[in-house]
Amino acid sequence: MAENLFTLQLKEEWRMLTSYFSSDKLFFAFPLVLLLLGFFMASLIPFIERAFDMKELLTAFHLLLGLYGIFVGGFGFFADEVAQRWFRDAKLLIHMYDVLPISFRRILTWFYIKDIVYYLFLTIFPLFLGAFLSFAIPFPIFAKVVVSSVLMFLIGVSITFLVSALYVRNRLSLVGVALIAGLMYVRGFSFSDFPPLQYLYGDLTSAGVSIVIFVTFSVISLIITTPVTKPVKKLFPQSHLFYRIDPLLAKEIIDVRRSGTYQVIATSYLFPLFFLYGIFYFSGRLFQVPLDIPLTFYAVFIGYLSTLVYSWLHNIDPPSPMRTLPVTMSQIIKKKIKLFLAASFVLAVVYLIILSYLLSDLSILPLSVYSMGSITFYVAGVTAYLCGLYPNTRLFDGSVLIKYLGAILPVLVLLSILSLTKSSLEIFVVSSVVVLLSFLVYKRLDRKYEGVYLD
Amino acid sequence: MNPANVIHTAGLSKSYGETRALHNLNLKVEKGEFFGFLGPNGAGKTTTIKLLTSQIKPDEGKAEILGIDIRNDIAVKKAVGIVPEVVSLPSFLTVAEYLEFVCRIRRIDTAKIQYWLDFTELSEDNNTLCKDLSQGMKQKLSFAAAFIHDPDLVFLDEPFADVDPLMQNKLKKFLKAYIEREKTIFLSTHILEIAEKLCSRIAIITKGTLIKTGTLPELLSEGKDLEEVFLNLVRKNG
Repeated sequence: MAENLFTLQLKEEWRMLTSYFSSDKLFFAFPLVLLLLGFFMASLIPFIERAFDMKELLTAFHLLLGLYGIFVGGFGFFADEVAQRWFRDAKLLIHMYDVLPISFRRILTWFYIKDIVYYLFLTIFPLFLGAFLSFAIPFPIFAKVVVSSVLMFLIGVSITFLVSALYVRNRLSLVGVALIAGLMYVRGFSFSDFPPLQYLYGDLTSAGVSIVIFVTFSVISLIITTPVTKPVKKLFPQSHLFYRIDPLLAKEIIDVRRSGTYQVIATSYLFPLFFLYGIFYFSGRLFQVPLDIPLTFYAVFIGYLSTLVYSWLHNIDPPSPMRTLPVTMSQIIKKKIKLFLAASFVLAVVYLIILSYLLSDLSILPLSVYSMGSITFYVAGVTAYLCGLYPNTRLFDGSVLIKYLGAILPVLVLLSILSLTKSSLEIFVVSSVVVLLSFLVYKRLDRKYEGVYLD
Repeated sequence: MNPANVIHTAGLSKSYGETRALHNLNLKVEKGEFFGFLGPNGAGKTTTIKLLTSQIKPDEGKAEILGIDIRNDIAVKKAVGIVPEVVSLPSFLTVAEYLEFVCRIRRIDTAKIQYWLDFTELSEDNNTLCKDLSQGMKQKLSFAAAFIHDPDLVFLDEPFADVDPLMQNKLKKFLKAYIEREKTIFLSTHILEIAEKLCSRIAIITKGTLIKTGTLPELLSEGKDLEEVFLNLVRKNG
């Protein structure tokens, strides 16, 4: 039974993931890219070592894997309805606990193991295989790094699992988590004190401690995770919106408010910006030249990041209820774009104002806003044109992804180069061309989706 | 096409990959009929309804609904009411908001919302999110949304599957009265008792092919009851 649950869920995951691609072979493009990335990163180590202490590099690498684990470990939410929205119309085996003679805990345990296996084999191991094939790192050190970084990833996963399980069970329990984290900070606990790093630097027992932490956190999480039946919400009606603005747009606004997606949208820029800052920091150290990154460069990046907001808008609710109503696909797409532009533009401007203050670069703020706006408008148009109402799945299709990159990358690269060379007039001209291009794409949306029925 | 026919199809076909869901459907439904569309699971009933209500496109053939070509999807959806087999409602709208939304999309007066909330016994739940409704409540709300614009033709795909017997009885009475107002109902079901009680004319489909069409007395002349006729026909063509 246990083996069956595991293999069935493995197959289920496989079928779901491959359904995003036009062919099963394209599915392997992603691990292949990671393999190549691992190969090139490892090949560059002798060069990078000139600027960085190896210990510092390894700590940064473990930090990244720990963060990766933290980002994918929210299994506690499976007990919450939020998790079911992620899969939209799809029903998975994990949702079958209520009709099959099996406990939710048991099915979640195998789901958890299955997901970890997938993350390891599809993302982390290809990266290491690439690094191994470069023969740039002596094998004994390489093997130790593999073990310690996998342990770091697992601890990251189990931490989020525990926190999400506590959050779903009782939000107040997070105060206890914050207190423990605060106490650790006050006591001088730093990232390098994490057991996987201790193991890497010679303390063999820390490998065992890491496993104990992972297993303990996971077991506690699995024990406290139970399906939550939320009380039925009675809400203050929002239907006045239907009379003030277009009903389709009003529905989108209500969806964003009530689903809590506005919180996710507001913070969706933070991690990528933090990541970009990290890249600049390490690049500056690597080339031993302090990098002077202007606000216009961040504006291009923020404009592109707005695609995240567009994707989130499509995660809220499937369009299937519209099938029986006299509504066209292009009408729905255009309302989503309107809401997206309003939400992302306001947010992006706030981020740009903060960045301009941090960079002491206020004079270039209007041009940055214009440039960011043009990219946002363009990226949303291209995404909508190529993916319709399904950007979260259609972009995984190789042929769509190639067209997407072909349309987006030249614009992004050109504006990035111009911003780094601080060519203000050129940035203005190119941004204006991008705005014109965006209008053309929008005009073609109707033609492309005319007569296309809602899936 | 004859204006008396509110539904007229000619050679309508649809396949999903290798699976032939509907083959060469030729069907006429006249105004004022309570038309029953019967068939076993997977016979092609839902595919037919989806084609006739412009939710999917046919591979071959033509069809007109109330004189409108089914390729004109918006015009078809404006004219008809649809209760789908799998009810899908906007998760984050409340019951009342959903009906207001439907009225605004259809550009009709919202005065009838309260009537439909009362009729479907959803008044007390009018501020409940659609995602928090039981399956039966969802079906009732879908029923209200399909009839709120008083369409001349309504497609019902297994509309009684999740509603309780009291509500079933109420809905059946409503549907009978609806027909008396010269409206047309296209009912897809595999519950033969319902078809026998409600429908004036019946078509039987199996494996994507229409195997019999006739009035209820015509069909009953071939066996002791509709169940026997249905089983004989489906087995013969299986």
